[in-house]
Amino acid sequence: MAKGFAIAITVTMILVIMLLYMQNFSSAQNADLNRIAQLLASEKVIHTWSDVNDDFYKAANLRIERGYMNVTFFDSLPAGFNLGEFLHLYGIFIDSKYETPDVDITYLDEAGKPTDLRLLPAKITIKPYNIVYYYDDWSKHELFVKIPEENYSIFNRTIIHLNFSESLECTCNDDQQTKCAKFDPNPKDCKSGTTYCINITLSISDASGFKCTVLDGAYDFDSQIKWNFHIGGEYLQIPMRMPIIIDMRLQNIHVNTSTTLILNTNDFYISYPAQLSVSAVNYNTSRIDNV
Amino acid sequence: MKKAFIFTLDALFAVSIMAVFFVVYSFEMNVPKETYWLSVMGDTFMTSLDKSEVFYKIYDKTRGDCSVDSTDIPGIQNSLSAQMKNLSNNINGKLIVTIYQGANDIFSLRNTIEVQKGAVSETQETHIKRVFSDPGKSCFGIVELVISYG
Repeated sequence: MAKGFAIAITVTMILVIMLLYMQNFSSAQNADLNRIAQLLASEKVIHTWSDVNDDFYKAANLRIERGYMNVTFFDSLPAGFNLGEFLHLYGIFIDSKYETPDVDITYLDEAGKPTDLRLLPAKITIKPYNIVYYYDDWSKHELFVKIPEENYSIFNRTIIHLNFSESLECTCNDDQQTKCAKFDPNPKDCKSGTTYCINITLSISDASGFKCTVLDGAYDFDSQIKWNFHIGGEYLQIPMRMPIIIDMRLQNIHVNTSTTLILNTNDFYISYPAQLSVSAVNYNTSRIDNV
Repeated sequence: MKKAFIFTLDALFAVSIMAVFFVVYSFEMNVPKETYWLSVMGDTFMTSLDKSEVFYKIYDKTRGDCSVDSTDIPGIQNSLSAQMKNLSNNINGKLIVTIYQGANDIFSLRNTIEVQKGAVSETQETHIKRVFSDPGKSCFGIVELVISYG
């Protein structure tokens, strides 16, 4: 009898120990499950952000690289399609066909409020100096770079390279004037009375491998310099004068540009036209970053 | 003695039930971990296809209205099937590419192209999506990968 009870008590104790162990195991597993779910949500947020942003970047065809004291814009002009309309459609497509119920994808304006991509301002600003790289609209037929006169002293130098998609059938003469492009009026060197003396390097290249540096030095931007360019039947004018140091209007000419703005400070940041916010609905996981 | 013996048998039976429950529970608890690894594998696979522009290249075959000519579909399927072979041997999967043309806030379905590697288990499948677009033609595409352990 006593032996039987001893066995019964032992087995009951084993049962209690197992129950306690299972309770522990269960709570550890639940914590693990939560961690896995959180990890899955985070991974989904990161991949979704990167996926949507890649598409946006491909469509806008604009890459911005910030260096220590400089910013370079790699661009392709004109867009060749209505980018504003495309971005608007893209936003609807993301909402209706791509977004899953567990993820929220939103474009935010500069103030952090949800925005329609059609309303996206076609400009990138270097703040707090308000140096602006902007287009007339997202069709990118016209590109401007504007340096506010009051912040001229912060500006050190600009390097602009234009790579034309077709052959220019041009020669590069010793006086840095090309056969196909002339300055009218000619750039003037800076003098003692010059208010806005801009350090600029302007070079061009084309599909045939032709390369030419047409401006390299410090020039007087108080008065206008105009670069007149003949390509095939097309005529391209690039007027330059403070505060708009570049004003490039393109119709039937396609050009890839790289524009480097070198400043006298590293104390600046780039304000993008929009931010992309991707968040997991059921978890405290999100990524909000410039597009 | 008889009473205690019966009690002992009851307890033993309870312990056995608990042990079985414990084993099943542990096994079930491993499923989310497997789902996690499946999802990580799928994401890596899709990212590599996305970065190597496999999906964007489909637009080279689309017409102005974003549709793919029926004669071009086998070629696209072959190329996608070749990519699916890069999945691990123990993974089965299905890749579904859907292409729409967008205009006036409406998206018209143009093509659905599907390729498959093995049979996908519906109970443990994981879905991974990617979006790809062609702004020039106003084409919008979704690629969905459905994978499970084989």
